[in-house]
Amino acid sequence: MDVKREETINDLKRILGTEKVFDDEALIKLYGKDAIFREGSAIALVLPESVEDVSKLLSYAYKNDLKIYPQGSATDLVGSSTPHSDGIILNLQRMNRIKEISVVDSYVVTEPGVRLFELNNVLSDYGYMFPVDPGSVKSASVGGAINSGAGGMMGAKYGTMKDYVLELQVVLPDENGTIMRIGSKTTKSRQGYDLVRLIVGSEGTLAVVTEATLKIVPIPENVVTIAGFFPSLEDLARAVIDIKKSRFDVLIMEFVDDLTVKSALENTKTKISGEGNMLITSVITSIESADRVLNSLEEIFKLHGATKVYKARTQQESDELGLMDIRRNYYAASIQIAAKTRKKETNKIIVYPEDISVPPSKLVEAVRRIRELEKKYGIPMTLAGHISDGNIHPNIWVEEEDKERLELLPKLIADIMRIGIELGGTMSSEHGIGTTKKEGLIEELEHKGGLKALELMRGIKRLFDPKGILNPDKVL
Amino acid sequence: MQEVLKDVSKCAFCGFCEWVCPTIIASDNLRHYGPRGRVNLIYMALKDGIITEKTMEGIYTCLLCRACELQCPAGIKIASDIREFRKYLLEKGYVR
Repeated sequence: MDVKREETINDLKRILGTEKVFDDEALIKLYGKDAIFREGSAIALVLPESVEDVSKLLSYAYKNDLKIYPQGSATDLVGSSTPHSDGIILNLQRMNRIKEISVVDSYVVTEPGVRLFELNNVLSDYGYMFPVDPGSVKSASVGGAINSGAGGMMGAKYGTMKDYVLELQVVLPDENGTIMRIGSKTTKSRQGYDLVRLIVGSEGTLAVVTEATLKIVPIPENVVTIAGFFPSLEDLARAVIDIKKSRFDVLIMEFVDDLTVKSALENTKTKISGEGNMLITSVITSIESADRVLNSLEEIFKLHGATKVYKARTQQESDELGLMDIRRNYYAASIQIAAKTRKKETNKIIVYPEDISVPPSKLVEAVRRIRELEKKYGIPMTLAGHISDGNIHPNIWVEEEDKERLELLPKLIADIMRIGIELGGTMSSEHGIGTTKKEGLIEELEHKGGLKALELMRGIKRLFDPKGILNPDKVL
Repeated sequence: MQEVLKDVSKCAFCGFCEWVCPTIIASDNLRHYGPRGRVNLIYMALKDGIITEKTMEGIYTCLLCRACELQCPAGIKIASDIREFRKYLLEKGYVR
């Protein structure tokens, strides 16, 4: 071990305690991975237990020009949590206390390491929930969701992470490791420039989140769900338009394209089946209005040619019938299909979920163009998304050692991002920029005449992090 | 161990397995005390030959309860892979 490295590890152990600093090779490698198989290295791994630990670490890092790579559960999909060998991995999962729940004031105060799924388990005892539900909800942590600006299926009704962060405690990468509190515990707050929302989606590049006050909402009285299969995407899109015009209180509106439905039925266990493009819609109702709403939805589905329709009057019924299975298991099914179709069984598979958005009226065109790209590049993918907000997730997979496809992958991803940009949408809806979408960000801003924004963003980064030590080379 | 390597190679690092794991919960979220960590430690050992003190700690704290297997989207047989890997460690003299 070189002297500088050894000195750093000894300093950190002295400042933070030996039980919070690790330099075991296997452990660093384990914490250096992410969910798109990017692997980094680091000098050491630090697992803080308090905001004071984080403050001490950032102060030391500032004084010693040491780079810090913060992470939660490392399930991000754009490389924003991957460390480099010259720095320290700062994993915040040990800070996992739910500190306060106030139903009267509609908030929960939590540390960054709490998983969203666990948070909802606790809130359900109060009849409340935290409505941001990314596909990774079982593993995603509060801190990670804040920093990636996460969204999810219930975004159709509730929006994304930026709409739910009321107050933050953050630590700045400066000489003192300044602990700063911003926002307030109220829904309304006009505290000058909105720094809370600047931190949301900043991917750990501006400050380290050590505590968050999040808005919570009551669990709806009742939710009805309908799922159906349409011969064409155009028919499905027309059904969506009619549903929107009918002023239902839509909670979830998701689609899965025909080729994906087919491979999901062939490769995974599902309770429902059908041919064509699948539309799943959940609507909030009262118990009394459930049948009426469900019948209206069925009429719309059938009017636009749905061949097979499944209905559930309650959430429990929907779960029992497995109406959401094909869509909820979409990422899992992609993994299973990818694993099954590996050429060499000891090869790792890389499942890369893309994340563009287009105005919902352009969704049919976007899907057609994405499927054309699949043919052009000869790289398989599955396709599904949040149709109410036009967010499409093509899941693309390649296996390690498939050099030809690995070389083509960035080009395919760039072409998919271009579809989002050209159709008036965006190349990143809820996954962020990280390292994989930096060029896409530039292209998007250039396309809309917003390149100056990059300069402003770089200025903001310098203000928060003058030495550029916090998650460097991400986003910008 | 080829079959074990094939199986653990399927891990997509999604972490869906962790919230049900009694040992990762008891350890305050130490990744190597959970199924995702253990599966990847096995992969590291078999693919790159990296076996450290923390590898042993992770592998030998597993209760083999199989709660994680119900959660794994890739269908990895996590408990039996860990059991096989423990045999391997014994045969190779890492444990006595």
